[in-house]
Amino acid sequence: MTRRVKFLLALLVVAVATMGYYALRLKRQAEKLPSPAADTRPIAPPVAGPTEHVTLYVAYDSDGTLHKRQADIAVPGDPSERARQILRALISIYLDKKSPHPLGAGADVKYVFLVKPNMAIIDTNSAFADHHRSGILVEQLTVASIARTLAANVPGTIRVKILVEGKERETLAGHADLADFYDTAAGDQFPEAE
Amino acid sequence: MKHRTHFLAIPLALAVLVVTAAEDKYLTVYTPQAAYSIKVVDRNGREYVALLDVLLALGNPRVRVDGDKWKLRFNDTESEFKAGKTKAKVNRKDLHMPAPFVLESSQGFVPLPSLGPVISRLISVRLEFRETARRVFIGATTQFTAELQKTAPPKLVLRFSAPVNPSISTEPGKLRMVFTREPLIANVPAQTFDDKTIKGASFAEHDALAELTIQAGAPLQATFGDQNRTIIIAPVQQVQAQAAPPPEPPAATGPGGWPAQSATAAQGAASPVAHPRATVVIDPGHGGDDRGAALSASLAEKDVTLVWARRLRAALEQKGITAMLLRDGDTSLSSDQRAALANAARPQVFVSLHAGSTGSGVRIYTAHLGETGPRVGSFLPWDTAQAAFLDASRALAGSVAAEMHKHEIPAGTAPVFVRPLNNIAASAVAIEVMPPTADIAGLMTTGYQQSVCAAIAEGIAAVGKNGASGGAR
Repeated sequence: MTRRVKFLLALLVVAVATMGYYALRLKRQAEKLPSPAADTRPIAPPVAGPTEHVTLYVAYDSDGTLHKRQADIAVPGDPSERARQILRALISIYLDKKSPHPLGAGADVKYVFLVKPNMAIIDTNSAFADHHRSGILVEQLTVASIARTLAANVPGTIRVKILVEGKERETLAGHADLADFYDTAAGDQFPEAE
Repeated sequence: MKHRTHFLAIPLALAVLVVTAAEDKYLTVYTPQAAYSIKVVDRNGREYVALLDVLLALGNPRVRVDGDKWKLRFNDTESEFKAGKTKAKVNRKDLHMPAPFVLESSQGFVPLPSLGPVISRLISVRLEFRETARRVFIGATTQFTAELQKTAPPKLVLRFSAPVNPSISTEPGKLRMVFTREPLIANVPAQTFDDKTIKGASFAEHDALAELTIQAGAPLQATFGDQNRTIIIAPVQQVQAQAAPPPEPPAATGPGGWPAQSATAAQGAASPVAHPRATVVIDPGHGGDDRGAALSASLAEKDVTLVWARRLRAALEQKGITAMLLRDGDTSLSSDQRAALANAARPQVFVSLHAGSTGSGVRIYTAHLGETGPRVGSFLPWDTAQAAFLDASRALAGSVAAEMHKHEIPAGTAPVFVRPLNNIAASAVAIEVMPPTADIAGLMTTGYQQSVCAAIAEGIAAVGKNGASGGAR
């Protein structure tokens, strides 16, 4: 083995050791950081289309209430897509860092089907349910906030069902029932605050 | 060739180092007030713990960082540790540690083997540190005796010196009890019994918990008694399912205004287990594979609800109101099974217990019901069986909330869409208990549990006195 080869091999060992050490440090640094499972940026409503004045019922964990908020968002003409964009505007509030009712990173509404004059089916993505906090109040506030927002903006909506990735799910995160239809006409669940 | 092997080994070893994820380790500290878990961290291949985390529950520690010096004032003692040094001054006396003190972001870490010597110099209470099992006992420990009663069938009676609440699981040939919150120790690690059904018992402690395993020749079940100071292990009783009995007239009135305990067993076709008729059925939420909410790193909702359910049963029984639990161990039950078992027992009141970490105090929920299905003869529609009892359930929720306010415990009521409330043919509420302050550990303090459960029992008793009848049956 020539001196040159020995030198190159030694250089290679040093390089491997340095890279290994650097990788170890990167791993430790990454472990210290909070680990967002997905993109946490709020979903932006569509930029095109006419702007509409909509009502959002925003959940507040601190006092267990729904706050009625007005918002102007751009919505498409198709009724189902319009309903979806209104719910996405609501969810974007929950994905904000300062949200009064944080939802898991990446939560989104995939489709809204307005099946009958009084029935809506909302298909959410897996992050919506899988990353949802567990607890009666927090889960119920999410369901009530979505159902009331939809009922406020799609007149006549009485029965709402939430699916996850197109499938039925027994509960949202161990408590709130998703197996059955949620009846918005059954009376107000949570106190409303302005 | 030899050199080449070494060159290959280095990157491989580094790759293994990078890929291997260290499992989290914890240390459990048992004090007379509470048990709490602290993360054990790895520094330079040794196990360390943050000293301040241990001391926070034992007194009033104050820390001042002066360069590489970590100065601690705890109660009336003063100590000084220096980063990178094995010698420290604890309560003004020198202490030699097997590894250097670590100072990171103002947090002081001591090597795990030094924890016992450090704490014993700072407090005057008796301390026992079991380093291998990572368990620290401050004050009294809990001991137990095991006695095999050769009855037919045989029973193993475990008597504990203090109340216990283990997680119980079974597997072929074994019944395992895991004690995470109790300072349980054993004088004898293993016992063998001259019996084919209950063959022996062995005790082990590891990973910050204690484990009691019963070796069995047949499936076993555990029942609790004497305010959780006694656990009786016996073979599982096989009960033949029977047709639902005809409706019974209300039983004689008991001390709480509700019917007194009836000797009649309510055995429904849907119920796999026979229960004596109880006035109140308590459903500890979750269980088995369903852990419920992770209230903290070591506190699962299913364990909290079971502790609270047992406490509530005791509070009700003190008022002369009979109560039964839907699960008295770590058992998986679906919401339909819970409703079927509860309805088969035909109680006057159903209480579903849950625990949460958002907020403080107690929330009392009734069913959020919309359209109700048509009644067919004397049968109620399964999905909306609660509808006929909703007024009684709301009255019950109001009564419990009023008692909470009398005890100065924050309480609110709301209707929710949570099973199995909708399927219950009785006055039914779901109660979500939260800690008294932001500290989740407060949920497990005996005083708080007793206070809240006493208020729930008084709320149930008050409704019983004012007229127990719910909806149509």
